[in-house]
Amino acid sequence: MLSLPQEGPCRDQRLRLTLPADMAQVRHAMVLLHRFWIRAGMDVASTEKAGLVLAEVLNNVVEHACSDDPAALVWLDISRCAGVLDIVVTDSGRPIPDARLPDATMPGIPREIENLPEGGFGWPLIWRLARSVTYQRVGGWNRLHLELQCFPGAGTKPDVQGNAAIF
Amino acid sequence: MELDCELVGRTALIRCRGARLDAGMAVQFKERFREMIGRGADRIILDLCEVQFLDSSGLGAIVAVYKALDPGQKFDIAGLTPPVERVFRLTRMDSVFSIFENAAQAMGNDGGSTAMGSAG
Repeated sequence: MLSLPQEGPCRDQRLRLTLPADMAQVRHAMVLLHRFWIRAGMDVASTEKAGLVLAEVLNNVVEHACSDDPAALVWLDISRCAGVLDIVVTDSGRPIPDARLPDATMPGIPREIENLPEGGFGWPLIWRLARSVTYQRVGGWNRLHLELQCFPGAGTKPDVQGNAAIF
Repeated sequence: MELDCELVGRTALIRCRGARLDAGMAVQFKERFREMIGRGADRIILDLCEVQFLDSSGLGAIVAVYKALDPGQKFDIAGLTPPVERVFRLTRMDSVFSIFENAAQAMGNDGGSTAMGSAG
């Protein structure tokens, strides 16, 4: 049984989305989410930050947790309340080993060109940009809970409930 | 991910066409870039002015093509949009490359010095 986040006091901007754990689908969803967040009144910098964090998380889900399961699914449950964007990512993939999230340390920059890192930036970026990140293995599901600080865009109405209809 | 290449003398100006250089495009970007560099150039300027989204995989692809260049080839980057500039800064990759405000400025400058020292 999929465990959804508990109801909080403020769920007026809530979006739930299910997508295949597939890079092309993730890409498409991220483009739509960017538009949704802007239309829902989030400022550009917060939207770009959230888009980067969520893209890094979903890339990991596709490339690691779900890489051997073409039928794997990812559920997103996103809500915004009082300056906090709350994102729960649930997937049916393999658990994170020892339930320990990867390190927050950004790869070092060596002097030698041939030793420059080509990867290892994803999790440090997530840690750097999110206010909190927690992971749980719930039944057979991975559940990652992210909180990001976000700000309203200039000139947007505080209540844009209903924009979720674009999905 | 389409790349345009303009050869000006011995300088190749490569422009990313498309708003996202992300995990879904990283492999394609590397392949296309290598095809273009096969034409030969002393200096490569990567113009990212159309790119509005760069993730860690896209950044890794840029680092990978840089590392794959011949030792004599200089590599510079131009046209970082704010979200792309943020990724370079957070990962400290802005200290690795010479970064120009736009392609015209890069073309009008021989590249200056990079934090990594001369590629040649």
